[in-house]
Amino acid sequence: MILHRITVENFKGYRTAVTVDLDNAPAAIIQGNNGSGKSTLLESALRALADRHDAGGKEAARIRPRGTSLAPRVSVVFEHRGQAYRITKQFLDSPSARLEKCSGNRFEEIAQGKAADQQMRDMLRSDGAVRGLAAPEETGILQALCCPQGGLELPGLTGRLLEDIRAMLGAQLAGPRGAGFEDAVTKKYNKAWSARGPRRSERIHQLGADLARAKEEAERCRAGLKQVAEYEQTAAGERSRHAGLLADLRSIDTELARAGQDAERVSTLRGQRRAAELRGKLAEAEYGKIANLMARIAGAIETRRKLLEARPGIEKAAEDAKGALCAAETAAAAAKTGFEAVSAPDPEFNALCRMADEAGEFNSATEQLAGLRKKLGRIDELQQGRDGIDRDIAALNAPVPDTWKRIQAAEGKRKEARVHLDALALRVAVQAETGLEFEVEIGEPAGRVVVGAGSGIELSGQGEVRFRMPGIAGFRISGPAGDAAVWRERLASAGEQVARLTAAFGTGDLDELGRRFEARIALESKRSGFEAELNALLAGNDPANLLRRAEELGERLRKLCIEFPGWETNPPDANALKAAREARRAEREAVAGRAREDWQHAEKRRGAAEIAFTKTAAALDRNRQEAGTAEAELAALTADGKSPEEREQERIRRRRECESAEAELAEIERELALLPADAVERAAALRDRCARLQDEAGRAEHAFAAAEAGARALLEHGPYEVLSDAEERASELERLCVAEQFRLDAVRKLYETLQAAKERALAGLAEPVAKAATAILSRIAGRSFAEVRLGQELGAGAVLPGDEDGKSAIDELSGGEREQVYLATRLALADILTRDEPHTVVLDDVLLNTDDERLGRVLELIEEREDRMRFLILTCHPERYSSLQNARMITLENFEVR
Amino acid sequence: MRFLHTADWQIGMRAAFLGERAHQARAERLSAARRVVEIAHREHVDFMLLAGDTFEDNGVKRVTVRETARILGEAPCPVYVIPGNHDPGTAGSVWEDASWGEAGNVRLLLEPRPVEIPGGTLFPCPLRERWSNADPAEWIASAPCGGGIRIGMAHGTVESAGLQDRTHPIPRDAAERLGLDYLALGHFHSYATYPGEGGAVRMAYSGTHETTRFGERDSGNVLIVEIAAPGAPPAITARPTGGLCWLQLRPAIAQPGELRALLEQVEAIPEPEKTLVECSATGTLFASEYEIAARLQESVEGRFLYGCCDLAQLRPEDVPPDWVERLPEGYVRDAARQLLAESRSETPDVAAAAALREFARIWEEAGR
Repeated sequence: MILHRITVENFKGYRTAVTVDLDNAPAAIIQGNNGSGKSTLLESALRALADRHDAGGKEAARIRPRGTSLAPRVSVVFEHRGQAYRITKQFLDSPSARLEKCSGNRFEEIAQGKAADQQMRDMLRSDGAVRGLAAPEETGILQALCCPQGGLELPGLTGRLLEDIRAMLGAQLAGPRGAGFEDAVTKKYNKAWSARGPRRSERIHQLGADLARAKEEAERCRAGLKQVAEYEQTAAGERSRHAGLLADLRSIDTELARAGQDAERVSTLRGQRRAAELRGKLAEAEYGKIANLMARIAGAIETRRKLLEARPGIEKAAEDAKGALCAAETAAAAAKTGFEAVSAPDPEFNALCRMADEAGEFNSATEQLAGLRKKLGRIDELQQGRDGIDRDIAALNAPVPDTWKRIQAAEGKRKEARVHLDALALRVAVQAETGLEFEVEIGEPAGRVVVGAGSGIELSGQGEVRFRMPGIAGFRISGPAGDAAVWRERLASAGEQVARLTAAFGTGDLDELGRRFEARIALESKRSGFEAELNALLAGNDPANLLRRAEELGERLRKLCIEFPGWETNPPDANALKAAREARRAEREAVAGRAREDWQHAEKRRGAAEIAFTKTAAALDRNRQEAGTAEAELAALTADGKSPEEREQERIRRRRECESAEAELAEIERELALLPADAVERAAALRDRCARLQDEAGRAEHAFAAAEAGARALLEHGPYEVLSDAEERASELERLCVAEQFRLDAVRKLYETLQAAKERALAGLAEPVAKAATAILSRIAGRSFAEVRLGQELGAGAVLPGDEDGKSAIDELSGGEREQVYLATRLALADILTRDEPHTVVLDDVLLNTDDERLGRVLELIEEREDRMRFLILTCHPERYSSLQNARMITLENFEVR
Repeated sequence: MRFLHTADWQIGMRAAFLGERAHQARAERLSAARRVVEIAHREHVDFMLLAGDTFEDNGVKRVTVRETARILGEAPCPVYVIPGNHDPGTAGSVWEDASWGEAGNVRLLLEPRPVEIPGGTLFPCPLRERWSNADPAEWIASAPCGGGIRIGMAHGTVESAGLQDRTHPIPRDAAERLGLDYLALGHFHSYATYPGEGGAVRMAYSGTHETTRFGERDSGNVLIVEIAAPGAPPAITARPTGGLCWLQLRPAIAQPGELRALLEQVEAIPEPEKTLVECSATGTLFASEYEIAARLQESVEGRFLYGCCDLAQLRPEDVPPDWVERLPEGYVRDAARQLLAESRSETPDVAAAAALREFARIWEEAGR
């Protein structure tokens, strides 16, 4: 793309329409000072070429002239693939785009609006911006060929341009036929494959679905055939089991018949055995009964005989025992009498005892009475003393402590009120030299007061004293104001209280009352001492009781003295009397003890005789009773009226019956022993087993019939052939699937292999570009300066210094060297891009740090490329480019062409 | 006595590997059955023996059973049939179909009981189960002697050392041991005879009347057996009945041109609609014969009733094909070389080989 003419209007600093005509000069140098509009002109051209006409946003709004509402408008005439075009765009307000193609001498519109935008993007090989203004990497070919101010560095190509450059280089490697081949492979691949696998339209999907259905059907058929096989197996098994069961039944039938006969005979024999056993038991019982009767009769006769033989001896022993008992009773009565005689009361001894007791009492009472009389005397003294004190206190008429305390408190308050009132009092003392008359209006004394000459008067008041001396003057004396009324009231109250409290004592003299109070306290203390002693003596008793007790003791002593007259004068020796009494008592008790022992011995002997007698009498009674019982039993046992011989014959007959039953039983047992012991149980078990086998056979028959019916039902539909159809269909589909997959895999393999080879080839493309850039750089530097290394995106990534090993970052170079490396890279890329079509290369103030010598070499390089490149150079140092021979110089000044 | 001995018709047999063409193979088995009946007509036999496995399975469709019964019903003589292990006389078996009653000359022998036949007695040994370790002919030893020539008919495996299949075992000397003049056997699909001590062959497998798979030896026949008198040695003659040709090709390509010769051989095979071909080539795929390989594959897999052509074991020769070397220098040729290398590796990538063939085809198209 070669730029020929730029017309800009209302674009940033350009208010009016300005046209810059580049003609077709190999190099156009637009010179101007800073702010003259060079970069704005370039920007306007780029916007017209690469931006959407309807681009919006803040960034887009900034292209409008500041402070205006003018719509920016740009028109660029350019040449693309030998054809001249004109693109005209208006931005922001009523945005529009119009692409015209030069036909003859005039331009004809070929697209407008978005279509015009799109055609421009296609020419630039740009994807364009999604919204807003296009960023440098979105401007397609311009990102390589246009170096804006400060943007000489090429960070790396992007988008369609990079692909285009690669494709251009790749196509050159593959040749035209190779490109067609690759297109065909790619089409074939894209038709068959997507990122997720074979495309839905591919036949393999339908084949796969059909295959799955066929397999499902085959699986169903297999299941059916498996079921048939199971039915067959079940039927065969059940049939076999049924036959076996029938065979078992047949064999059991024979066994059962034999076992039945045995069981029947065993049952008969067991019945006979039970009958024989019963008969035997009955005969045995009858035999036992008669034998027992006979034994009991014999026993009764023997018992009776023995009792009768023993009776005389017993009768004699009873008689002897009776005699012994009479003798023992007599001896016991005598012993008792002896004991009673020694145990009878002794008056002399009793008198002695009483005297000893009374003597002790007499002495004790005498002593008690003396103590009582002494205590009563003291009590009387104390009571009299106490009563005297009580009378003294009453006579004293002194306040009790509580009352005295209250009087003192009231007096305290009264004194306090007085002190306060004194403090508040006003006193006016007048000593009259002549007779004076006072009329006291406020104060004491009140009213008219006359004071003679040489006399004095004192007027007083509280707070204020006012008086008038008629004919002389009126006076008013005032003092400190206070609560005089309050204190007066308190004083009165306290005085009333003192008077009320002391009224009962007949005096208001508090000193007197104080003395009385002290005396009262002393008396009360003394009375307390009396009271305490009195309480101790009485110990809770009433004095009257003590007196009564003293009288009782005196009466008792008087009576004892009457009984024992000598004691009044000569008190008895109580201890001697007690000793005599105890000696006498011991003697009496010894005699009585011996008599008691004699009596007790006699009583024992009488008891023994009585027991002996009772025993012999009882033995005699028992003998007689047993003899009677034996007689009665014998009579009962022989009540049948049979004779002993008759009974013996019956016993023998019963014995023979027993033996007959035992013989029959033995015969039965012998026959039973020959038969199986469990014949009956065995027959029953066999019958049970037979029934079970019949049931089992029935079930087996039912089972094989059911299985066979199941097999028939399934086979009716020919499942095997259906399976054959399904499997064959599945096989066919599987084969087709494999073939189809194989075909698809082959296509993919071919595509991927081709792409991989291309990738490898393209990956190496950076190298020739880098080599070209290195050569250009050497030309600029005038020597082998450094080797340029490019990244995959063809951006200059690093340099290798020519005289050192190791790679250096671009940043490590000087500013001038850096811009020379970038320029070399751009020129190398431009060399590639201009192989098929010439392009304009724009350099906006990009070689500011390059020295003149190297700049000269750069200009040589520019001139060498005039046949396939046009250079648009924007600079504020036009003299630096003066050596360019064919350059067209354009001057911009304040956004206008000069 | 002159009779026809056949067995193992396996009517209704599935052939999944044939895919959609399997029904043709199945139909051919019925056609072969008709040819058997034609032979019976032609050979004027007294009767026919069908020694088991008439059907592939008891689960074949009843219409197939009826068609078979109809074919047998057209025989000019009595036809004696026993169930085999594939179609045992179980409940719901093919033998319960009513069509058998309509074919008056066909006698189903479902019980091991002597049957009087023209000129002698037949001792049938029908099977009632698919698998058994019992000798199906054992009962003949205790059976009544019968009159005339004694013929046995059984289905099972003649005992042999090393034989894997031991179901329904039949002793190798069963005919002599049981006093039979001839024991007609079924089960093995290949024609086989078992000479007795005197050299006389009294036991034989007729084999199937129509080949059932690749590699099956001496199949597709029936036997015409002629016995002059009781004790006389049987005269056995095989008559072909098979309609399908099963071909297995295992060429080892060592020289240029051999692959082309193989292609010509394949293309010269007659009656391709009745031929099944399994071709598996080994050896070298020469650079000049890629196209021939593709044509061979196309021919084998497209021309016949069934065709399978496995060329994966053909290793491309080390010399790159001319067309690869004629490709322009660059990644296109690199890609072709890459595919070539992968298809020649120790474990050849069949996808790479196929991709290379696709490459060649598209390159040619792109050049036109």
